[in-house]
Amino acid sequence: MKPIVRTALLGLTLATLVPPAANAHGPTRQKVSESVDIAAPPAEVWALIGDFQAADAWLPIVTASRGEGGNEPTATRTLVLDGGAELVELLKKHDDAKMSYSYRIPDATHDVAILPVNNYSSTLSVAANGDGSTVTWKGAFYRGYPNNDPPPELNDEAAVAAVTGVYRAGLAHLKTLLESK
Amino acid sequence: MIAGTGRARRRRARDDVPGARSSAGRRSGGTSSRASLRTVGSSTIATLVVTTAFALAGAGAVAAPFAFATNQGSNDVSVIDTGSGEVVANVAVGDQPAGVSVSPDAATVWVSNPGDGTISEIDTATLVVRRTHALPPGPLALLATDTRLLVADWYEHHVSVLDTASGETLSRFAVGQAPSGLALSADGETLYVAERDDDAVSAYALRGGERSGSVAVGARPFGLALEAGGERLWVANVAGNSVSVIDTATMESLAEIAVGERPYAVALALDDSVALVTDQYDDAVSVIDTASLERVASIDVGEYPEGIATHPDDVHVYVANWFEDTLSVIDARTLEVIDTIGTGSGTRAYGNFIAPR
Repeated sequence: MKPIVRTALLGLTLATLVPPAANAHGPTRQKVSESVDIAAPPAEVWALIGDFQAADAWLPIVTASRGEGGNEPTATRTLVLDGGAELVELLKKHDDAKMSYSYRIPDATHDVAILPVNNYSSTLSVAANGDGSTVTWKGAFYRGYPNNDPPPELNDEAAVAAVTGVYRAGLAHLKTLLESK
Repeated sequence: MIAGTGRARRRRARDDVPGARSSAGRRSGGTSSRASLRTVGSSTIATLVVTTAFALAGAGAVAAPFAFATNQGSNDVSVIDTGSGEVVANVAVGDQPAGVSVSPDAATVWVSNPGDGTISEIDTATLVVRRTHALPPGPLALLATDTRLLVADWYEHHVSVLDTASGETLSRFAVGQAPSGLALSADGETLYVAERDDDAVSAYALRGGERSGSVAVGARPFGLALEAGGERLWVANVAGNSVSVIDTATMESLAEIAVGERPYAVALALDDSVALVTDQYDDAVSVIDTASLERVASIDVGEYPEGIATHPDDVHVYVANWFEDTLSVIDARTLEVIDTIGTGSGTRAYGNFIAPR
């Protein structure tokens, strides 16, 4: 086991000492798509999650959200996470009629220690499903470490696991919030 | 895209076969035998369909070319009969297949697997992996001629030249950072490389690997497409949200044209009169008039379009929608999506993925 541990530590050290160029990325983009069915009309669901500046209203890991630009493209928000870390996100598209918005995490202001991804783009949307709704959250991103032999916490699997965890926890909490009303 | 051979064949095919466009008419239906084949196991499908293909060839029928879509998530290649629009086989390859290049003689499909650093060599007649070549660490973009395979390494910034008969690496030369797109001059002497992390496109002598020229383009160039005559090279600039047009004689940039968000790759159609560009974040394909150098349309396709290639009929353009696991088929004359074909998971089809006739 020793050589493996040493390799992992070496990877960590390199990642810390020599931050890769901000725009480099791994060879394969990863994707996550999670959905939840909610027993509430789409309009009610969208009223809760459709405001780009109010993620703290439904995302359990977000303790506060501050931002500029409302729901206009190029709006930004800073999510303050449980524990104090901050995540800056940029709104690209927002459509109340389609009940969908798309946003990015700009690499320039992103720390892979908070979320182990680069080039992250995401879309959150609500669709009618019978009398209720289906909420779908999709993300596309590269792993946190752009070069060969990524350390385990910055590899493809770690990136997918982290984003999947956020999406599942968020959608489960959303379902609880709306169905317990 | 292989300039010379592939596009010359495409033109010849269109001129010689007046009924070539009838393939579009059959697209929606498919044959009843093929439809019934889909209900049986996948390995059986491959065997039966190959048998059918041989039977067609034996009867003198003109078989439609296959498209080979690399599926990053399912570690296989979807083989699509472009006549019927049906997936006729899924060929298992290495880990996270991405790049693809069909040889000009249509005998071999080469697939890069950056997940495990290998290249899969598929026999297009049997749809069986003939050999797997280890070429670590990060093979991505591929370009096949009938005797050579060029492989760009994403991590180590070099291009390897393989002998396609022996599988041996004949030579290897250094290129710029994060080589992505590859294009070869018609005479096979000059290789153009999009050097993503240098924001440049450079020209190299294939023999010897000396750099003969370089030009600054938009931010993060990725896919390349060379016009049939070789005079102009089209470059998708992923972070520049633009397409650069390069004069290959002078290696100067003639124009930088704004397109949608995160353009990935370019294909040319209709005698190079239009350039189609996959705009990943817009779920759309930009269309550029190559004479006026203006963006004239945007066509909605599936989510996160990546690879794009023109059918040998020079009319139909196939787009791999990575997030949605589909191929969109665009008619370049009407600029409409005329078919959508389901593929494996995470289809990328980065390279010339449709067999010449």
